Formats: sequence, C-alpha cells, structure tokens
Amino acid sequence: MRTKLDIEEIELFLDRQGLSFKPLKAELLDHLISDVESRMRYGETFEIAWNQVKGEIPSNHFKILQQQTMETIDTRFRISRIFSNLFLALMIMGSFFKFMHLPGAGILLISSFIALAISLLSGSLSGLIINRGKQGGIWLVTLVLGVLLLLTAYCFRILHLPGAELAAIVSVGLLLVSVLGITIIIRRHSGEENLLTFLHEKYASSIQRALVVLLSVGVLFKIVAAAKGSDFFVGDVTLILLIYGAGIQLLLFLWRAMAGNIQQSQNMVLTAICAICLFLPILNFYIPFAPRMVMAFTFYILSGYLIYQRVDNVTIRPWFLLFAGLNIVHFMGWSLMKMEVLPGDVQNILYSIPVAIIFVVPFWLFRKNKLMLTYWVLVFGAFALQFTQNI
Amino acid sequence: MSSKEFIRGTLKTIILKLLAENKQLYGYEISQRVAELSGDEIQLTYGALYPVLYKLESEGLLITTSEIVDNRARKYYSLTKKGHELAREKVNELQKFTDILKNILVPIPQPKMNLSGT
Repeated sequence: MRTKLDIEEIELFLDRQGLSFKPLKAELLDHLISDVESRMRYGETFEIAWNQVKGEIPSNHFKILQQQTMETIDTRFRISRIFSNLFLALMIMGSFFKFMHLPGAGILLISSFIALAISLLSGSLSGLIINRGKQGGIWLVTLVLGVLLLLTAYCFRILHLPGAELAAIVSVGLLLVSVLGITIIIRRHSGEENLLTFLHEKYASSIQRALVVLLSVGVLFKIVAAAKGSDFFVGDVTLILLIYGAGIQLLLFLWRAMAGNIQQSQNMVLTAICAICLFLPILNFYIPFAPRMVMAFTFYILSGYLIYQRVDNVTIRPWFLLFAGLNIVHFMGWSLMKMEVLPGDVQNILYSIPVAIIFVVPFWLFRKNKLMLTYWVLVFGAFALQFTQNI
Repeated sequence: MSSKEFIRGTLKTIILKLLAENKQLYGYEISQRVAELSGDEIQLTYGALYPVLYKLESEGLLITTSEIVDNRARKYYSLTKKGHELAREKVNELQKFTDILKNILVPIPQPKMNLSGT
C-alpha cells in the first residue's frame, strides 16, 4: 500500500500531463500505482520504481489517450455520425420522391441539408472542445460557418426565399477569410498538426461517401430530367453542392499534406489561389460568366498540378495527366462555345455521351488514390452540371 | 505491417477473450495478463488499452464496477451477455483466420517423385 504522499505525487504527474477527465484519471492512477507496487516487490524503492514507470511513458501520451477516449465516448461525435447518415438517407429518399412526383420531396431534400448542417456543426464543435490545445480552432469555425451559409443560400434558392444572395455573399467572405487563416496557420506552425487537418483525417472517409451519394443523385436527376425534358433545378443544386464539397475536400487533402512539410511555401500560395478560384464563382449574380470560367480554368490547372506532384505511382501518373488534360481541353471548348466565341452546340448529344463514357473511366483508374478520386468527382460533377445547365 | 498494427487489429478480441475467461479484470491486470500469456512479446500501452475498453463499454459489451482498494478507486470490467456472445464469435473468427494464415505461410510439402519405378 502506497503512502498518501506517493499517491499525491503520481496524481500531480497526471495533472501535469493534462488529464482532466476524472474517470480516466482515476483508472490511470490505479494502473500506475499497481505498476509501481509490482516493481517494488522486486526490491526497488518507490523513487526508482516510479522513475522507471514514468520513463516508459512517451511525452503527450496521456493527453492523446484522453482525446482518443473522449472521442470514443463523446455523444456529440455520435450525434455527428447519426446526422451524416440521416443526411444521406433523406437525400436518397427526397430524390426518389422527386422522381416519382410524390408530395414532400422538397421538404425531404431541405431536411437533408439541415441534417448535413447539424452533422458538420456538432462534429466540428466536439472536435474544438476536445482538442482545445490544437492550433486553428477559429479558422475551423469560420470554414464551417461559411459552408453552413452556403447550404442556407441554396436552401433559400430552392424555397424561393429572399436573402439567398446575402447568405451567399457572407458565405464567400467567411470561406475566403478561413482560407487566409488556414494558410497562415500552416505556414507558421509547419510540421505540426492543426485542428482542421487533425479532424479531417478522422472525417475524410465519411465526406468521401457523402460526395459519392451527392454525385450519384445529381447525375441521376440530370439523366431523368434530360430524358423527360423536365426541370433541372434540383439536380443542378445537388451538383453545385457536390462541386463545393469536393473542392473543399480537395483543399483539405492538400493542406493536410502541406501541414506535415515545411518546404511547401510555393504550394501553399497555389492552394490559396485554388481556394479563391473555387469560392468566388459562388457569387454568380455579381461576377459575369467569362471571369467565372477563367477562375474555374485556373482552379483545374493549379489543383491538377498540385495533385500531380503528389502522385507517387508512376503507372497512374500519365493517366492522371491525360484525363486532367482532356478535362481542361473539354472545359475550354465548352466555355468558348457557351460564350459563342466558337461555333457549335454545347448540348450536342453525339458529343456529350461519348465524353461522359470517357469521363467514367478515371473513377476506376483513380479508385485507390483519394486525392485524384476527389478531383475526378469534382470534374465529373462539373461536367454533369454543364450539360443542360439552367441555374 | 508492424507488430503494433497486428495488435491494433486484434486487441478487441484479445480483451474479450481474457474477460470471457475471468469473471472481472481491471486495466493493469489486463495488460499484465497479455504480457504474461504472450511471453512479454505484447506490451499494451495505455493508449492502446483504455480507448478500447471505453469503446467496448459504450457499445454495451462490458459493464464496470468500482471498488476502493488501498485508498484508491479500482474499476473492474466484466462481460455482458452480448459481450460473451461477441467474444465467442470473435475468437472463432480469429482462430479460423490464423489457420488460413498458417496454411498460406507454411509451405505444403510436395510429394516426392518415385524415379525408380517401384
């Protein structure tokens, strides 16, 4: 049995390690004392045994352990997961109702956006509370608020409510400010993990799943609408959300790669330009078509270049170059035809269907590389949107 | 793949198995049993053990009771009914998998050719 002073010393050590979750602290106290006692049975003094036990614990080990444990049991993370699944379920149901012309489709789709918003909010707030010590919390909140306002803007558009433009303007403002903040934080604390990249590592797979559902729903809407000659609105909104979702996912992947590497200042600037080119076209009611297309073109080239730099697989590199190049040529042609600089019909089915078939191939080619796959999800979403776009 | 990754993938099953064989165990005891049974080959870190215990508890596979031992609280873990069922299932799965691995890793002896014709 240890003296009160011995126990206090071990408790003090746990406090200094940043352990604040009492049940875990009590359990670790018992574990450490048991370990010390076990060593003392072999003739060691308390001081020597305690120093041996302490010496075997890596720095920050308990802090990380507490974070992991909290995330495991924290109901807020569970709430985030439940709502992200609800978002997918409502999205699929809403789309089905819309196709079948059943009442309530609009409500279901709007509810899916609300579920997505709650999921994003609860996930990021829980991350913020549990990982207080990590850098960049304020920029995470700014980014999430920007995304939420973007969702609000599109909900308002669907419901034909006033205020959609204002929500979009504030959203773009917040998104651009967050890009600036994140770039500075990664540059100042390069080599260290920040809250945004830390949380993204946990949520990247869920975001990817949501993007695949959005793409499937959006494309399905476009196909049915094209076949029936009916309204493209819901499909267009879904695809626009997909493009921004995939774009943000791409930026997060790039930031994550840069956060762990100090020699990345040029790439950080290029990523920031990519982000500006992605977010500014949201203001389509203020920015004319031609500058928006220049921005989209710049985004494709810069993000394609940044991804190409990170592809280690020599077999897949030429394929990425080929398809990214094909997309850029196709996009340039489409933009010039749309602006009537080049003659031709942008909706020509004899052209669009073969392009669509070719554009499906990279999903299989890039399936093992998240960065390239995300890029292609964005490219395909944008291609589907170009086809009979009316928003 | 390092041994750490093997342990990460099987730790849940190891803990369930130990608790299935013992009425109740506390954290330090679990880590000692693992070290003992593995001939000190597997040393569980705090970071590996406790998140799994909390996860199993939150999934309703474990129940906990606390006792005061030598002026400090000790938390004991034991399996629920659902935990016992899962322990059986997981141990069977892992045994089958290790048998398959053995078959892959240990070369099957080739039959010798009889060249004398007898």
